[in-house]
Amino acid sequence: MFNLLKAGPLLGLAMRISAPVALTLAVNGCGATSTPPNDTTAIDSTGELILIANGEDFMYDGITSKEGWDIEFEQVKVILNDVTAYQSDPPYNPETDTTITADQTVDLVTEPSPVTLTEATAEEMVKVTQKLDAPAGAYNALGWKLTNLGEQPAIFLTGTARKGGETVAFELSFDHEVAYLCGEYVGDERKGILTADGSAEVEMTFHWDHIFGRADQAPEDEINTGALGFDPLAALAKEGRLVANLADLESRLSAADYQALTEALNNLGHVGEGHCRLKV
Amino acid sequence: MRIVTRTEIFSPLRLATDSLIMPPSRALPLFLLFLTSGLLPTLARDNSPALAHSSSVDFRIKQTVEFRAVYEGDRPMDNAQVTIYSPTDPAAPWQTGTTDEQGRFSFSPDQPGNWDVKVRQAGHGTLVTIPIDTEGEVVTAVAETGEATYSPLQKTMMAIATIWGFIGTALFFTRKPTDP
Repeated sequence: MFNLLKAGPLLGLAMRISAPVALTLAVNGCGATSTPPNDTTAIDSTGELILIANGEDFMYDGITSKEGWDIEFEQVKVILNDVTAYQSDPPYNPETDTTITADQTVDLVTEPSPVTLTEATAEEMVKVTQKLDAPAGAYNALGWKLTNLGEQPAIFLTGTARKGGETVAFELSFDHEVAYLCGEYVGDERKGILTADGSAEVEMTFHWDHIFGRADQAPEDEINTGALGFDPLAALAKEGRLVANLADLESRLSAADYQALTEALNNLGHVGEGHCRLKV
Repeated sequence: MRIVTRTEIFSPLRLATDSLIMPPSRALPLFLLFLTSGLLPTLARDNSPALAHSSSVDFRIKQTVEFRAVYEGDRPMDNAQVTIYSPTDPAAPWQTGTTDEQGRFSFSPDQPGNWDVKVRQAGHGTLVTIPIDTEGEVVTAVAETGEATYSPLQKTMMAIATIWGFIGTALFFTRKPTDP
């Protein structure tokens, strides 16, 4: 060290060149990069994992469509199948990843199961099922299907829409089967973090505003520009009543409106505000 | 929507490095100042009261991760709600805040591990995991940027080569002159 001090002015030049480089490397890190520590809980510990199906507050508060139709739902029923919760590693990103890589999986629904979303209240969402001995850990991905069951369509909605002095009672059957791969739930609180002997929820969320739009959002908002709305459906009603399935609507709606409807059905599945990808 | 991350090294040491780029004639006395400044507190306890007000500078390197949240079409999520979760307590918010008008937010992870970032606005939300290694760096490059990172071996070799170059230069200038 002290020999260096005798080197004179040229040493200062060497320091000027080398020091920033050496220090930058030191800051950036030299040597092997360590893997981040694994912070999951012990594999052998288990807890209760609960599956929630959430149609959002539209199920009991109703929704006002982008054109101003006040819609109240009488019954909203979906048929679930192949619901699996994943402890994905790396964390699944539905925007970029096509498959989920998981350390642990829990099959929550393994056969077609009708779920009535309108059974929810402001205080309690619909509990589909629970797994009492689910391995502890962070369930940060969810996959599920909407499937037809015999004559029952994957999605079934009944209710009443009102605008001005006009009333339309509707019954819509969508035999639209889809499979979703979803990332982690996004909401006020985190979900799916299951500790030993504890309880955690995983939630599938259905965004019905993707079909009808929302009057409380700007007309140019994406939720409205991409939505079918209710005007096209109201136009098909006879004597204040509309009963239609997907095939009927395909033949009676315009091509653009039918495409908007099918795309909204494809985008129905969410995990809170978190996104899903259609599983091909 | 997506979150683009990059690691910014906001470090007092970096700023101090810039200040070290000075004429060589001033480098040596400054080096001596840094070297001796640590000795001054010890001297002050035993000797002249004139050395009682010595000073020292402690510093630590603090890494900062900055990200930018955008909607499709690169429209920023301005004033969006941000929640950061640490690796050791993924259920409890470690830090909260809002993005700026460009959708940016930064935080300084204080340990390695998976840091989860949640950004929400007007019914839209996303959550991404940013893995920080033991060196304080993001482990994986952001998919959107496609930036390459040096492997651990490459970093090691670069460090060794640079340090050896520094030592070699110093030894060259401290060699004893040979007799003619």
